[in-house]
This record gives sequence, C-alpha cells and structure tokens, in this order.
Amino acid sequence: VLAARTRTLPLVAVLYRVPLFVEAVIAAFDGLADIQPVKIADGDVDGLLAALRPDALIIEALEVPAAGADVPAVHVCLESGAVRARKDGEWTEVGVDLSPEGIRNALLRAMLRSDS
Amino acid sequence: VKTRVCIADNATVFRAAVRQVLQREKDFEVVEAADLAQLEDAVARGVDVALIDESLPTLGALPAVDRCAGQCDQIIVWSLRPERDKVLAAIRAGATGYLRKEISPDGLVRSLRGASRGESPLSRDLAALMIDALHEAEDRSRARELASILSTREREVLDHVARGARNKEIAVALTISEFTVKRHVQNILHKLDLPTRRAAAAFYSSMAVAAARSGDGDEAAA
Repeated sequence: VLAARTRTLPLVAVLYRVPLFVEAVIAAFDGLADIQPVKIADGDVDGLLAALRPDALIIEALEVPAAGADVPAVHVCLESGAVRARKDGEWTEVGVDLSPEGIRNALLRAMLRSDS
Repeated sequence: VKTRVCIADNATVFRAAVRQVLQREKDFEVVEAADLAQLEDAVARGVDVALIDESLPTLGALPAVDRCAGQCDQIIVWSLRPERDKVLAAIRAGATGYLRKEISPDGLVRSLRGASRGESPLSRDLAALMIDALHEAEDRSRARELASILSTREREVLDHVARGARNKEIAVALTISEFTVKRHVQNILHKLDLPTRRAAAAFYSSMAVAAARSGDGDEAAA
C-alpha cells in the first residue's frame, strides 16, 4: 500500500468476482494506472479499500460496496453488459461496449470530471 | 504444434481476457469471434478448440455447437451462471465441456490444455450435475420398464391409489367392483415387487416426477 502511495500513476482498485475480468482490465490500463485487484469474496472489502485509498474504483459485482463512495468509480455488470459511472454520488449508465478499453475510458472520464 | 483456440463471445472483455491469458502460453494460438457468423468463419479456417459463450449472438450456444460439431476437436461452452437445463442441452448437442466464466486464468489454461488432449473440461459442480442427470435417466428408464409391465387398468388403479383413494372410491370412479380393485392392487404390488399400497403410491409419484423432469409430460406416468 505504501509503495502504491508513492507512485506517480493513479491507483485503481478493481473489485471483482470474475478473475478473467481483471486480466482484461490490467492490460487496458498498462502504463496508465496501477491496478490493485480486490476479490469481493475475500472478506472485508470496505476495510481493504480504506487501507488502499485508491484514486478510482472499477466494480465488477452485482452490488456496489459502501466504501470508496468518495472516489470516481465505474460499475460493470457482466450479466447485463451495462457499464455505469458515478458522478456526484449518482450512477449514470454510459454508452460503452463491454470492452476493457470502453471501461478504461469511462473511468478516465469519471476521474477527469471529478477533478474539474 | 500450437492448439488453435477460438474464443466466441459477444463481450469484448472476455475475448480480451482469454487472449491475454493464452498469449502468455507458448502452446496456444487465439482467434476471436463475436457472433455465430464469425465463429463459422474461424472454424472453416481451422480451429482445434472452440470456447463458446452460452449467449453467443444471435441464437445462443446450441446452434454454434451444432455448426462446430465435426469440425472442431473440442467444443466447450461457458457462461457466468450455468443453468442445469442449459448445461445438459449443450452437452447433448455435442459440447465436450462446460465451464464457469468465474474460472481462474490458470484453471482456464489447464482446462484448454486438457481439452487439447481429448479431456472433457467440466467444473466440479457441473460434473456433479451431470452425474445427477445420469442417475435420473436411470431412474426414468427403470420406472418406464416397470410401468410397462402393468396393464392399462392397473395403471388407472395405481393413479387413484397414488392420490390416496380407497378401494371403494376407486371402484366407483372406474365403475368396477371393489373386489376387482382389490385384485388389481394385489397384482400391482406383485408385479412391482412392492410391499404396500403406500410404496406403490410413492413409486407412481417418482414416475411422475421423472417424467416431468424428462419433459415427457404424462407419457411415463400414463
């Protein structure tokens, strides 16, 4: 965690159920962000996020965890193919296909908006 | 020699993930297909293992399995939420394996490597489901066999027995004597090698359940 905090690249935590999803996302963010996968089934996700203090979140889950509500986030539902971005606490569906690049770009837009 | 794998999935994220995982291995070559037409095109050019999404556009996995049969050595279907009937339908259609998309990258590589050696990859829970289905098929077969030795009248009587009817009630319903009903019940127990009418009722119920599961409706229980 300390190592991640000293890096110049933003830290993106990926909350996931499907390990292959992480494989695809990591490649899309290569050189753009440090990715920290967090398996949702592994217990205290809220505690892990509080310790990691990521700059942004990608959530591949059916439900959105309470923690990390203060950082830009993208929620991906693999079942429906829906991708949503969070802005000012509100989730809005974004018109991207279910591709690693589409998810990456949606997250980058959400991060830029939160900076402006 | 590399194993040529075609990942047929509408979701780019899964195609990218499979490509990402397999390109780290030296023994795989990956081609992608986003729908049935692209899968057919890939298969025509030569594919060893087809990994097909259960919901592959536009008709789902079953037509895709059908088109690949005989052209690919191994056809594996995968999905996020495998449903019993869909898994069995895929296997019956000719799929050689079925995987959960929640599989780990290492698990996927192992499964595909096994498939290239002729193994049938199945998640543990799906393997158990297959065993259950086989047992049910055996039960259905046994029930049909036993039911076939009963006469039409005996099956009618058994139907009433299973509903809890008394001999007198059955006699009225079938317009036969109570004595005849009693004789039919004795014959049923003898033919089915069952000790009591309660056991006969249970047998009949299991026949009905088995018939419903097989989609035969009332055929087996009739």
